[in-house]
Amino acid sequence: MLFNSYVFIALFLPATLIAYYLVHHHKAKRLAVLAAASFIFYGYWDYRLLPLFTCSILGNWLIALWYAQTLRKSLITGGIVFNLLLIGIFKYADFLADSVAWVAAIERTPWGIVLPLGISFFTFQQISFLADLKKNPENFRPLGEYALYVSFFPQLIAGPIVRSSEIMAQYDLDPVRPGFYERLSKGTMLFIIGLMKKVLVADPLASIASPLFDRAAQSGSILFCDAWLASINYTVQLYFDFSGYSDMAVGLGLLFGYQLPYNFNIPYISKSISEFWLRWHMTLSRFLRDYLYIPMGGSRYGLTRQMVVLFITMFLAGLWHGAGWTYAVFGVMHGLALCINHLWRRSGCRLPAPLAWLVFMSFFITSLAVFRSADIATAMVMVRSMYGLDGLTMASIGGYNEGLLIAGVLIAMVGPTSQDVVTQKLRPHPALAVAFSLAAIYTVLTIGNHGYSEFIYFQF
Amino acid sequence: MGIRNLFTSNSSFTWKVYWKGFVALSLLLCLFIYSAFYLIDPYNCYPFSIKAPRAPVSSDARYFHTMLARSKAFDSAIIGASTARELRPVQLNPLFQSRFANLSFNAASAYEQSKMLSLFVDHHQAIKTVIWGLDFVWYKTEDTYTKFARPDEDFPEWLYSADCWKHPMSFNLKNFEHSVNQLWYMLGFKHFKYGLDGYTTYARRSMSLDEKRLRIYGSTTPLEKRVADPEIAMSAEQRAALVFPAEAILRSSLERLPANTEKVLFFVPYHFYHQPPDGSYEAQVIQEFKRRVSLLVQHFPKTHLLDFMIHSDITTTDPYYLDKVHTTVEGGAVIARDIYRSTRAKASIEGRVHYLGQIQNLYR
Repeated sequence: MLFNSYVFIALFLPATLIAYYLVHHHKAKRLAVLAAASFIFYGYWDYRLLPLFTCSILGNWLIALWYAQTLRKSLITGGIVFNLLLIGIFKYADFLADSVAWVAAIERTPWGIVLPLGISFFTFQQISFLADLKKNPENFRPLGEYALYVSFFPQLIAGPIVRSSEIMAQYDLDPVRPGFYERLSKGTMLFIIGLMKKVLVADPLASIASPLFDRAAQSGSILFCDAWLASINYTVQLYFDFSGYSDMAVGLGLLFGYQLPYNFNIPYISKSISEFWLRWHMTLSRFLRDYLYIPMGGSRYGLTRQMVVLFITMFLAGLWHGAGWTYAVFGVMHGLALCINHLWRRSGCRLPAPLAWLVFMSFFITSLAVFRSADIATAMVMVRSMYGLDGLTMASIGGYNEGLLIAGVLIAMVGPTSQDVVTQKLRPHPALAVAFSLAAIYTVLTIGNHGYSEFIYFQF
Repeated sequence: MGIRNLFTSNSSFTWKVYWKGFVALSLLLCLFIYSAFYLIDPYNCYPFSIKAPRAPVSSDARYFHTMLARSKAFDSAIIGASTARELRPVQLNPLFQSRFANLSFNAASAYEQSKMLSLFVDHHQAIKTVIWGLDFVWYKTEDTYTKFARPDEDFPEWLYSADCWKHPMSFNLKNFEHSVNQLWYMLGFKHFKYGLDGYTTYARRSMSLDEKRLRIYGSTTPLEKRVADPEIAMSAEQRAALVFPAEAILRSSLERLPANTEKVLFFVPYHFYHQPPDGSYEAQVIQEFKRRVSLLVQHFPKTHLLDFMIHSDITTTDPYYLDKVHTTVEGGAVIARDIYRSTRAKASIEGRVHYLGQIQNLYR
């Protein structure tokens, strides 16, 4: 069930809200309603995925229970390995076997393992729970609460990746507490803004970028300016798609009385790769820092180790996005860029801010061209064309929406962020109610025109 | 009430008032829009709408031709893409003793055309005649076939379902825009140029011969047709291996038509300059598709198959064309007349059209 689908907006969400608030004063009941709704939400995609999802939750909770009773640290290690095995089998088995077969020049038929939706997100969330439990065993929670922590539908499929300490403490709070209407209002505003980002900006931009990437994949060539047009469109599309989803997730959280962490903070204003990762997909960056980079040594064992750790972290981050070599190369590019950026900063050199921004954005757009390409060969075609290695032909297919693209670039670069506008700036006002109501209806009507498309991060 | 107020506190308008106002307004607006859709009913498919005359109020034929396909005012249909748009029902009606609706529309894919025909069949028990123009979307091979000719342009599938009025996708911006236009039409405030029988000329303005030639040849002087270079000789096995995904669509569409409906399929008359040269791969693909369709129509009674996509007096007469594929009003009239003459004579007309289909049980 997609957040931008009619069944979600007109049926699932209102029904869940009504059921939830009918029992709001009773903690166990309201959490049960949310957990049940979340399982329905997940099963709606494909009910055959539910057994694996349920087993994963149950398995992790049993490990946590065992640990809470015995405090045997090997259990946590075992639990993390269990999670990595699960994601390894379902997400990477075919990819690894294909890669081995390619190296050995062997023909193989893919096993065709179905990728369970959101496995990257709910696996990370469970790893984070186990790792945190190791430090604070008293954070162990009953099965119902744990199941809701993993399955909570606003952030189940594509984050934000929530730490147990951030959300579980809120379970005890009655959602109809002071600030109830403000949370409902702001949650709705964020949801509408996210929906607008997806439907009115990201989807139209996708209709420009996707055919160009497809053409590059099919024909093995693309013109210089079309390569840039495709990549810039995709860069803006990705921001609006993913930040739109994140706004909707945070907004939905607020509707149920929970504050979820924010994921974006005007990332395209960044003047360096390190600044970018503090502003982009912030909950993933935080996860990578706390559960990979620091445990592997971080900056504690000298520069060389730090560089290696940084590189490995970003390589794994690239692979986390998908089982494909384009994602691996994306991770390598970002790992190398972070290392170079770190050395550059240590050297004390500085670029003028506009130049630094230009250098970073050129790099980032190039890395996204690789990320978006269907395969390495297409990525090579895109990058070669972008840097004029296949000529500098300026003729374009035309027909792109310059106005939308420019508006998108400006919003993505300058901000403000949705959360800043909604939580800090807006105050209750009749005109605001009218504006959001009209915006919501216009956006929903637009969905009816084009149908709804998946969010990009759902595939990860 | 300035915009500045949106960012300042107003003690009387609390979040509670905001929320209730927002929810009430949104629900009211939804109710109002839905009611408007059902009452105005721009596509004339809802059961409880206002009884008033309706018209195609926009060029969105994918939407408005559904209204004509449901209408009992017609007992015959013209199906196809833009290349069939110049067939005028007023010319064909007396010839075929039928009441035609021209349900063809621009850039219609094979799938979209079949959906339009299905809708017409669903709403008519006795169908007299169906004339169907076959253009390039039908002989696309496996690699090039697409379900929708314009993936970026929406095909409203919901409008082609029997219970379209229940469909949630009816809540959309097009419906809103069309409802407003339809309301204006009902109130007599606005008139639209789109024909009530589906015919709206493709030729929006008159063109000089030079202008037409410029569009046909890219030059005001007629050019020699290119020759196949190199010529390709496809073996029988290669031709048999060609896969035309639209062939199955055509078969299932013909199966849906009543046995006593007269069916006229014709390959549209692309200008000869733009027909692939003999000996080229494309020409042989088209030839193979024509052969397949001529075999297919053997299985369906009262079916004619005509081929205008040939070297003929029509396809070499520049004044009949607006561009390389679309004919003028005059060109359309010539084709309509030749369709009639050829089907009634059950034979080719020398230098104009090839008769490819069987007709032995046409009048049983």
